[in-house]
Amino acid sequence: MRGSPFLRLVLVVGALALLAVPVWRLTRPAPSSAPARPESAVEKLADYRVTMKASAPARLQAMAANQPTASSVSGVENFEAVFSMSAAEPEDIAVFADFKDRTRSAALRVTVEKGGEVLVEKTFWGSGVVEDVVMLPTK
Amino acid sequence: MSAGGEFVGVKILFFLIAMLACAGLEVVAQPIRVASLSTVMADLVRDIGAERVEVIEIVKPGTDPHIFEPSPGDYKTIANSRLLLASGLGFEGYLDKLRPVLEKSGVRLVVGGDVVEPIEGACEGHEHSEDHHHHGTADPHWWQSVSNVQLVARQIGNALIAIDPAGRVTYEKNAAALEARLEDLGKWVRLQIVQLPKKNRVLVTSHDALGYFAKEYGFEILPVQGISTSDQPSSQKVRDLIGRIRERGVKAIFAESIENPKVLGQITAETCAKPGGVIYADGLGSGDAGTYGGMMRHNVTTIVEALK
Repeated sequence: MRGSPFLRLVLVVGALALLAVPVWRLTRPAPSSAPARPESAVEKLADYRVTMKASAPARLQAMAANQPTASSVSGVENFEAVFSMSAAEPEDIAVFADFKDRTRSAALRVTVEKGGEVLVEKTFWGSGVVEDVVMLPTK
Repeated sequence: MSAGGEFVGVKILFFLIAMLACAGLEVVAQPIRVASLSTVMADLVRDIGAERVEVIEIVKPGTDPHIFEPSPGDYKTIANSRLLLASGLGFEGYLDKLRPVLEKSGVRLVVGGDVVEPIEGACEGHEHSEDHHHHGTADPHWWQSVSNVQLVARQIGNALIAIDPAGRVTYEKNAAALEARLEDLGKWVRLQIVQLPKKNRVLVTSHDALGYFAKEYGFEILPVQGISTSDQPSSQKVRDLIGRIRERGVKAIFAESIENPKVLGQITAETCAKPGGVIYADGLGSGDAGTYGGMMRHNVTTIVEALK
């Protein structure tokens, strides 16, 4: 083969570069099929008001995942807490009452409201300590 | 007959009555033989029957019940029992073959799946042979819901009373105590699960055995296999699963006590999820997981700790 070796080198490099484009297109990793999270997916929050009424003086507490625990002082019969949670899929709420008098039967009434509408009303029974979970409906 | 003769006659009569009474007591004292094809139901009947029952576990803890087949010796043991406990809903594919043996020997059959509300289970990727584990569309793993176990405990209690009416007081007392323990267990499970944010409630497991648990506590299940351990996932299914695990940002993947966790290991390596630990899906295990309460506490603690 005749011609300048430099010219031959340029031609070979050029041909390789041209070939590289379709090869890269064919072999590059496929873009993720997972849909990108739209901006509207940013979660809407709502306030959930938890009202607790105990049948006798107790220390009352309400807890939900990713929320600070709300606690009363000892010896109260009423307690309220507000949790700011997803409007569509709120967390369930754990409620706890530690009664001063541990010998007698006791009850704890819990109401959860959102925007003035009652979502759940439940009464739990026990003696000494009453604890359970209030399940909140999801949309 | 003289007075002395009459006295001897009365003595003999008393002796015979005493003998009969003793024989009667002996019959009552003989424990009721209960054979069980379910490790969970074996635990329940031990709790309710206590010293009035002798429980023979045909399927033992740690055995894979999906591939279990009773031996001729097991058939004999079952035929010599008064009661046979089975999970039902297609879990024991050989149960229909056992029915003539039960009828012939007068063995009462209690099927747990008869008293629970079945949920649908996925069944894919395997062919059903005549003898091996075959499903209807119902998920047979009903014990993964504490409320289902409460129903089955009542069913077992009633069956024991029907077989052994003399033990009614014992059975009712023990069943009430078990009911209270199951009530506490259910509450304990709720109080543990509530700590998990709902978006984290995704369970990736070897096979689809936690459907009842998922329904009761709001989990989504992403199983590698179908509802049986004999289901084999296609490579496409494994690829899709890896995609969903990445998409959902699943924190942990769980292995099962009686399965080869190799495929799960491969999936873990290709995603950001960590191994979450071993859970008991098909029945009881050993040690702490050797009782129903222990098994549920082990599973729930493992799941909550890994997904928090």
